[in-house]
Amino acid sequence: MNFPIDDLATIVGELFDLSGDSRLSTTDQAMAYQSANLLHNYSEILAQKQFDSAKPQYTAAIDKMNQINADLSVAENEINQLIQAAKDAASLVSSVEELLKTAASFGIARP
Amino acid sequence: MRQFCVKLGLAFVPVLCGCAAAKFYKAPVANFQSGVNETASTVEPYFTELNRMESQYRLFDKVHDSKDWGTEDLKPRFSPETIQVRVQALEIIKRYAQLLSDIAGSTSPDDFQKAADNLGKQTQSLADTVGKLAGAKVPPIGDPLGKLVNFLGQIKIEHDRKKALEVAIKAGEGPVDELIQALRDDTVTAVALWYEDQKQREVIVLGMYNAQRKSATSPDAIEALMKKVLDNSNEAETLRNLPVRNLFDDFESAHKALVSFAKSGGRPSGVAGLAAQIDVFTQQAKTLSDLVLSLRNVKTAS
Repeated sequence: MNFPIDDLATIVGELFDLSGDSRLSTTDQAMAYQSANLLHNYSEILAQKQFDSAKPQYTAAIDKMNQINADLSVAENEINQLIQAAKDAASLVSSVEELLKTAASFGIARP
Repeated sequence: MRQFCVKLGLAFVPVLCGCAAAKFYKAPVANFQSGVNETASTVEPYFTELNRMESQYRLFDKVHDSKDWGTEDLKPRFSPETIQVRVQALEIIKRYAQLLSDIAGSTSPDDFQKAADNLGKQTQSLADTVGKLAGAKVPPIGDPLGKLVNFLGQIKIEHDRKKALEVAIKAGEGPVDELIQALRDDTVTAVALWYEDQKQREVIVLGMYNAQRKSATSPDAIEALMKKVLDNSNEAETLRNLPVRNLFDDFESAHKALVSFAKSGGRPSGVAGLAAQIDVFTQQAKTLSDLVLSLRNVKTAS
């Protein structure tokens, strides 16, 4: 449920302006104020109704997003683990190389 | 030995090809995240401010009607629970954008690239060492190491990264759009109601100032009253004219462009269009954020 709240706000604003316009009679000012106040109250009620009607939509979308974010966290974690594996492999290869050099220098490498 | 080197050469081909595909997401996703963060930091104060000011307006209303103030005047228009739902919606889009950005990677791709490069250099060095030590009868580790490196190359980390991004962006199409639309309607409504409240307050305040003006004799006192009246009016008009609707329209367009890019498989040719669309959104969010900040500063100073 959507309503033209922008347009309503313009009307309410104009009516409040009129209610403070010193060129109008006090009766007309009071009438403008009452009308503005009434419309303002309607705006509040309609705004709350709009939110109430949108709330299930919010809740459903938030539930879906929670699941998507959970999946994204898992994917991020897996990717980071793979990156770590590549880093560790580089270190391992480096260590093996050093080990080989040392072993060769002592002549203990297996035939 | 020659066989070992050949295997090493092949091992890194898939990794490097993968990098070329996933990197196109990095800048647009980071910009999208920046726009979402700006939006969240801008929109949230609207609801908080609206809630805070509600009691004040009700008190003013009672002054105008010459009625006693009551506890009912202290109740906010929007309950903390409903405010929380809106904040939660923004937070969850922020989290989503943050995760996309993390996966697209501001630092991780660099780390990975370094690790991949390092692995390549180390294995090549090892191959050289094995060659030099051949006379010393080194253990036959050349082939197993070659297989290990080849396997790491086949992991295609960047391919996984790209796939995770595309899946998440496509899955987020519906719910993110729904949240943006709901937040746009809510925020436009909040601003409109705020404006109505301000106009009402303006009339009541004018009446109060008129009464005060009769007893104000010094020019300074009258000038101070004039300033308050004008500041009050300017604030209402400025807030009313903030491009809130535009921000959410641009937010929606940027998100649609991101989804469209993911659906096209992240083609390089689509990057420029996507970046332009997201930049419009980011700029709009920044502009609005600055305006809200300046308004808050003016309020704090006064």
